[in-house]
Amino acid sequence: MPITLRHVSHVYQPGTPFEWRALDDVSLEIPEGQFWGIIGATGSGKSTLIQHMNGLLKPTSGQVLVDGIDLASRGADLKQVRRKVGLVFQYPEHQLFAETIYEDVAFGPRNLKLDAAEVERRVLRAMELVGLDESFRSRSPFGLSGGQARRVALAGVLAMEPKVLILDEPTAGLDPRGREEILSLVSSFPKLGMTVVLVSHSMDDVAQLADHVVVMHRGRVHMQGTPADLFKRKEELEAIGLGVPAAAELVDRLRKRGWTLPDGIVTLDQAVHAILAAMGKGGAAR
Amino acid sequence: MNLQALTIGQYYPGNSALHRLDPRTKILAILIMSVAIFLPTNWIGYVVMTAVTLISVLLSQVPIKFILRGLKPILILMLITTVFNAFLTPGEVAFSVGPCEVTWEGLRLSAVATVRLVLLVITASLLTLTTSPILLTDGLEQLLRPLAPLGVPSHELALMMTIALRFIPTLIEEADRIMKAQAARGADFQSGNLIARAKGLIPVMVPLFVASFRRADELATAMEARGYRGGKGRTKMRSLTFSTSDFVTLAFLGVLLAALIWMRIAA
Repeated sequence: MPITLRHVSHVYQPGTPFEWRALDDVSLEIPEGQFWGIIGATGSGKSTLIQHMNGLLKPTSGQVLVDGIDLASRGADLKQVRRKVGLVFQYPEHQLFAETIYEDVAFGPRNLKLDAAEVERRVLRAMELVGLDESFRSRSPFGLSGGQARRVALAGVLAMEPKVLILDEPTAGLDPRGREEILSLVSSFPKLGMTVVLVSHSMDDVAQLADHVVVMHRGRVHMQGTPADLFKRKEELEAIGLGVPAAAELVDRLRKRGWTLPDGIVTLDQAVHAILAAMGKGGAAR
Repeated sequence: MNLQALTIGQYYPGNSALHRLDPRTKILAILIMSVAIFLPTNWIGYVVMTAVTLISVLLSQVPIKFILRGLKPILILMLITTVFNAFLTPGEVAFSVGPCEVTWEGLRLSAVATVRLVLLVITASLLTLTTSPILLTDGLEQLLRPLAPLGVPSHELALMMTIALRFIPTLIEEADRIMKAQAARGADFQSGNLIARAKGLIPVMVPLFVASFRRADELATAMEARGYRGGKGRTKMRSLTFSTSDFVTLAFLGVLLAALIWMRIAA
């Protein structure tokens, strides 16, 4: 299920004083089975961009192809596309509405007109994936903790069994433990055969999880590449109000003080190994 | 459905002569105009009123497209009044359509009703187009203040209006987001019969209500945390002041109104 964007531009409220070009000539090719990260400052067009990937927004100009189907073409079955491309919005727990968690998670599969047994199988599987046991089944989705509510909302999208999962800031507003839970969950999705697109403010999360990172700036693709390549360009990232992961920053500062450390360190684990190696070497020399 | 395109209050940001007028002047001007529009007894009066309205439109520097957009909702109303007036007014027959007769008096009445309605809607929309909602409620509060001894809670009314106006875009945005999120889960808001569609809105309405109550609660807490204790003894950051152009505008409209009343009495 590759997703291809060709010269996509999107203008909100064209022809009024509120006209706003949120996307400007964006071309991307997301191959199947990869984990992509999208980073950018607030207002850089990230949210607009991902809403094009399942046809919630139509490009003002340009083309969006999902599995080779042009989403703007007349014959495009958007329901089919949305069943394959799952989208988890920011604060997804704000969209919970049903009386029980089971009912809420079942909303998606029921919209797919699946039979009751299949709905039940999918709901239970999704709940299990996000770590909610049977005891949650008939509880109300209101009055859960922040992390639990978010996992319910995630289960609601996972129950659609999408091939591509797009997540917009899935850890926003969670406590460290909730963050950790959601991140380890998200990191397990590629193993389930899903293509994942993660929108995030956190360079650390993206560095740790993504195979490929897209940097958005003022509605354009500013840079893209592997985390190791991208986070080498610290000055460029800082110029547009972003930064590098804490591990990369640490390595950079140590280097400035005369340490010899290898290139392309972006995660905590990599940094620990490199620093230990350097210290070991230093110790041996002394 | 594109909820973003739905703008209520329709403020058109700008810095024209009309934008700069004191909101109280503009509210009073609308009141005077809406009386004046019904006063003329002959066509000269209507020409004058039309001219005043057109000059206001030009002074506002609002594109004519936005003004005309305001007229769209009353098109049907205009059509109905025109038809009823034309056919049902007794008098000298101008021409007949089958058994129905159209009279000269009827045509004249239709024309007058249409002109009045159009002028009324244009002047009223000029107020909201050139005055930001905040200024509008500020102006309203000040104008209502003299009525406080009669028990009119001007501050509370203005505050309610401000909060309501302030949250319209927020709620629209929220509704838009929730609809998209449910659409991403395969919800369909467009197809099916009325009952199916109404049922389809439950997944939107419930989260919207939950969010509204949460917001109201947060707002109340935030206001209390900042020491809000009602309107008593409150001062304004932006106090409204009348300038020369406000006096000129009001004087002109006052003279216009007086002249029209005099003409009406004389006739």
